[in-house]
Amino acid sequence: MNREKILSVEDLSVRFKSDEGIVNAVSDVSFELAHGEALGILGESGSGKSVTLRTIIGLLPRNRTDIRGRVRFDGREIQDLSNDEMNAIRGARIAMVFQEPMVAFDPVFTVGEQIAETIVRHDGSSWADANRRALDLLELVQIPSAKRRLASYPHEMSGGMLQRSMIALALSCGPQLLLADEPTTALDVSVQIQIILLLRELQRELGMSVILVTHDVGVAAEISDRLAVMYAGRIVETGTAAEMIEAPCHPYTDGLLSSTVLNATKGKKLNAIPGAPPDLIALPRECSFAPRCRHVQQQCLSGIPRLEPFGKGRATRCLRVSEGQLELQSANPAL
Amino acid sequence: MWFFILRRILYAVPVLLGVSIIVFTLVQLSPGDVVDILIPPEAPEEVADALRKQYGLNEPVYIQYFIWLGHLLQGDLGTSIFSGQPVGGELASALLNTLKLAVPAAILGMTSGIILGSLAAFHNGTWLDRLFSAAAITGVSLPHYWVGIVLVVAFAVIWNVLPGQGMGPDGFPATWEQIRHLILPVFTMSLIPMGVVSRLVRATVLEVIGRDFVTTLHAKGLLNRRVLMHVSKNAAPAVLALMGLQFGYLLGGSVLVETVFNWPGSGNLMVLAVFRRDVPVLSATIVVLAAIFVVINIVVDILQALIDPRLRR
Repeated sequence: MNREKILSVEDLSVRFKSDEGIVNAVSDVSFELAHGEALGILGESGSGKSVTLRTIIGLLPRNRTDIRGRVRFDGREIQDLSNDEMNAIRGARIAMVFQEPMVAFDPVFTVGEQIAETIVRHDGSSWADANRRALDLLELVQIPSAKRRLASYPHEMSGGMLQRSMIALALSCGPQLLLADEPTTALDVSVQIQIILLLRELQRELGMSVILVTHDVGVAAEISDRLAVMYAGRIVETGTAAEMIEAPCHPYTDGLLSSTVLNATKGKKLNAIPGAPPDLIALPRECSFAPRCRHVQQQCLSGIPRLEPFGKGRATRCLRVSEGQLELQSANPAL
Repeated sequence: MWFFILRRILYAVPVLLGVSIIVFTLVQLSPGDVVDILIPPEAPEEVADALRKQYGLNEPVYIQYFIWLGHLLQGDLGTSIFSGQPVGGELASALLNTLKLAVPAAILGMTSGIILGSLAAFHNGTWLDRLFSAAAITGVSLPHYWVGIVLVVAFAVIWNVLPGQGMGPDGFPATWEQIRHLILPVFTMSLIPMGVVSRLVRATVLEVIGRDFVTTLHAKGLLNRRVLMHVSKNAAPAVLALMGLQFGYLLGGSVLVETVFNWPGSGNLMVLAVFRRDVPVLSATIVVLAAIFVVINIVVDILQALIDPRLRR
């Protein structure tokens, strides 16, 4: 076990019981996160990225979820912790920023109260001290007239301001690990950039480890040191952000990169990946991307490819890498 | 907030005017008049006319309305035709008697409703939930006058352990004997609020704990009692609205329960007024009850706005 790692996830599989059958939300996910490192998890809806985050912070309903594998945070196995122990970690040492700030705050409490109550809970400080800290935090996330905003209710604030407040809330107890679940998806484009820049700045300033989950390649690239691409509950490719964007090697990563609007030219059709992701209730016993893959071969259908390491800290679940026949062009030659 | 309260009170004026018109019209529409009750059918027509004149019944209907409204606005609820006493006094003592039932019934019914409903919601899908939900549905579905009769038969007639009729001796402070007279009617009247409140609390709490912000509360590592506080504050406005309505119904004096227990409350007063064709008593009682209803609603609206800032506009 590497001492420098703040988080390590080993062979994590998460399954839900549903009326239609067992949903394989996450399968065999492994990754590590160093202190101060930012990992971006990329993938479309239903790829298991949010479920992975919620498993780490222990937010999945225990009675309906089957979690296998190990999640080690700061040297302790999360699944061995009692509810109370996990509750003491949540919000204090692992914090989370949610996708939709408009509904993530309680509408009948002021934003200040909602930040302060977290500080009171974990630091045992007085409400007066907690309110002062909340004010500092709102200033840290650059909310204009922070003092007034402390007494505002969520419906009196814009989405961008609420997301800043959400970040302030997440930072309130100085977490070692910040989980951001699509933090910009619900926001206007101009506000998205501000939030991303703020997150990046704070991450560097405070030396936190961050896991950012998003379907937006641009957002992931802006913040992350490393990327992991998820498809149908599995990590299909991982590596440093720069290398992966320059030379994606799994066909799905390639497709994701080239289907961004940034790469589109007027008049030309957007590159979209044909087909749809597989049903998580009946996952195929073959490469789950095979039906949509333009490089599909006979061997792809004979089993699930292993996550094969290659190059410098990269790995992918694609046979063409293990068999040395990779011939992908870069998705974005301009980079 | 003060503006909100002021506006809310002003809104009540047209409502009350409307109520007065409707009450007056309905009472006018009911067949027969008081004169038929007061004098024998074979009395000469002149006597009847004289009586009609005395009570202002020979005026056109709208004039009668304005005279009545004018008196109402001056706080004069009229004079009972049956007893010749001012309606105000009779009504006040009847309302006081009803309050003696309604307040404990509301406290008992709503507290147990809130407790049962929340427990059912937090144990959603378990046997506890099913048991409490069944109790709530039973409480709502049983006709409460029937429950009253069964209780009287069981406790007052067969076992003879509790009184089943009337209020017991007068006097203040309440004696044990007075409290014993309260037990059966209060329990009977509490059943409906218990059932309705617990069902709404269960549904509202379930809806609230499914909202996204509750996930945030858990992600913050808050203790359960703090999460419960958030959930309660969010569920409170809807539940308060229902409790206001239910309390209003209880004050209207459950006519049937008061009849079963022979309790001299506002419901009883109304029934008597109907049988006696005592129009002043009937109209005044309905108008005063409606006004109380409106006041309860204003109080509920203000409480809701105090709890939920989004309602303060």
